[in-house]
Amino acid sequence: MAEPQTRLLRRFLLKFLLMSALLAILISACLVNNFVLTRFLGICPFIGVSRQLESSAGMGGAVIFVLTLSALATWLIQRCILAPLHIEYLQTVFFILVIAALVQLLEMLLRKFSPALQKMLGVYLPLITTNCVVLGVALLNARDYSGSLLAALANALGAGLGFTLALFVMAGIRERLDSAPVPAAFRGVPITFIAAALMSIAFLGFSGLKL
Amino acid sequence: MMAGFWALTGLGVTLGVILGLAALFLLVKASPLAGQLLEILPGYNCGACGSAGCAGYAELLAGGKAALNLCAPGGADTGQKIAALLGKEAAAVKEKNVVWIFCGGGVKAVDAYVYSGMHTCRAAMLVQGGYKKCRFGCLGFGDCSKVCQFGAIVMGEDGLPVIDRDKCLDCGACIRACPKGLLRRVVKKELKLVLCSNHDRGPSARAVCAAPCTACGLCVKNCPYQAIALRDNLAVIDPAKCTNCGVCAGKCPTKAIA
Repeated sequence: MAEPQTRLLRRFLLKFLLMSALLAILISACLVNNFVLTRFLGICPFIGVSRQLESSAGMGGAVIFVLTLSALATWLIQRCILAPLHIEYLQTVFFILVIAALVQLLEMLLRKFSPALQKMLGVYLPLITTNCVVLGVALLNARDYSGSLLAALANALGAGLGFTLALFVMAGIRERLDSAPVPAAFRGVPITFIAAALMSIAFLGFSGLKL
Repeated sequence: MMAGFWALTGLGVTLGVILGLAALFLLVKASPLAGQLLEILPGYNCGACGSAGCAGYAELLAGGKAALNLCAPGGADTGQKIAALLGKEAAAVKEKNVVWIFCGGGVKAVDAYVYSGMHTCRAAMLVQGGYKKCRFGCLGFGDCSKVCQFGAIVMGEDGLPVIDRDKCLDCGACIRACPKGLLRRVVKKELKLVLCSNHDRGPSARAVCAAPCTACGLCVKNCPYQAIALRDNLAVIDPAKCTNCGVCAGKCPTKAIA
C-alpha cells in the first residue's frame, strides 16, 4: 500500500544517517582530533607559515585541496593495489610516491589551466609534498576508514579544515604578538611556541565532545 | 616479496611516465624577455616600482606597460641596462635620493600621557593622535624600522629612528609606514636639514619639545647663500642653494638644524 513511501523514507533515513556519520568524522578530524594541535602533525608549516594572515590563508587552501585529492588517490592505492597483493607493509613508500607525484602533477595542471589559482596557492603547493599532515591522513585513513571512501574523504577534508583553522588563529595571534611588548628573551620563536601550547590546551576542551 | 617489488616498480614507472608526458604537454612557455629582465633587477622585491615584486615589474616591462626608470634601488645602472635590453632610450635618470626623518624630538618631546597599548606607531596614533604633546612629532615605536628590509633604519637611544644614508635604497616603504608623515625623500648628498615638522608658532612649539624649529629666522638671516626661507612656521632649506657650510646649524638656538 505505502510501499514506495516507506522505501523513500528508508532511503532518506539512510542518507541522513550517512550524512551525520560523515559530519561527525569531519568535525572530529577538524576539532576534536585537530591534526596540528592534538596529533602534533604538520608543526613545521604551522610555525613557518603562520606569520601573516594572508599567507596562512594561501597555505590552508593548498592543504585542504591537496589533502582531499591525496586521500582519494591513497585510498584507491590501498584498496586496489596494497590490500589485494598483501603488501601493506609498503604503505609508507607507496603513499609518499603517490602524494609527491600528485602534487607535482597538480602544480603543472594549475600552471597550465588556472594561473590565478596557481598564483594564489603559490609556493605553498610544492611545500606540501613534505607536509606530514598529508601522509598522516593517508596512513590513518588506511587504518580507520579503508572500508568507505566517503568517510576517508570526510576525514581528509576535516583534517584540512582543522589545519587551516589552527594556522589562521595562530597567524592572528602572531600578528598581534609582533606589536606587543614581549620580553627580549621570549621574542620571536619562543613566544610563538608558548602561544601554540596554550592554543593546544584550548583545543583540549573539544576532547569532551561526544560524536 | 616479489609482488611488492613489482608493484612498487610498476607504480614508480607509471607515475614517472605520467609526469614526463605531463611535462611535455603542459609546458607553459615563459617569456624569455621577462626572465632576462628579472636577472637585471636587483631582486629586493621592495615594491618601490609599484609592482608586487621584481618578477611583476619584469613582466610589465616585457609587455611594455611600465616606465623603465621605476626601480629606485637599482638606480641609473639598472635603468640603462633595461633600456639596452629593450632597445629603448634610457629614461631621464632620477637623482639618487635617500629618506630622512624630519623630527628631532624623541625623548626631548614632552609626553602628554602614559601610553601602554600596542607598540606600533600606527596603534599609538589612534589614541588622540599619539601620546606626545607635539602633534607632529615622532612616536618612536619604529614602524619605519620594521618595514625597512635593507636594515637602513634602527631605533636610536633618543627615541628617534637613525637612518643610514648608505644603506637606504629609496624604496619608500618607511614613508608609507609612518603615520605622522615625518619621513621624506631628500637628495643623497650631505646637506643641512631642519629636523622638525612642527607648524605651530614658536612659543607653542617650544612648550611641547626641547628641540623645535621656532621659526625665529636666525638661520634665514645668517645663511650666506640665501638658501633658507620660512614657510608655515618652519625653516625650509633649498637643496639647490645649500652648500652644507654649517652656519645655520651653529646659529640655531634649539639645535634643530643638523
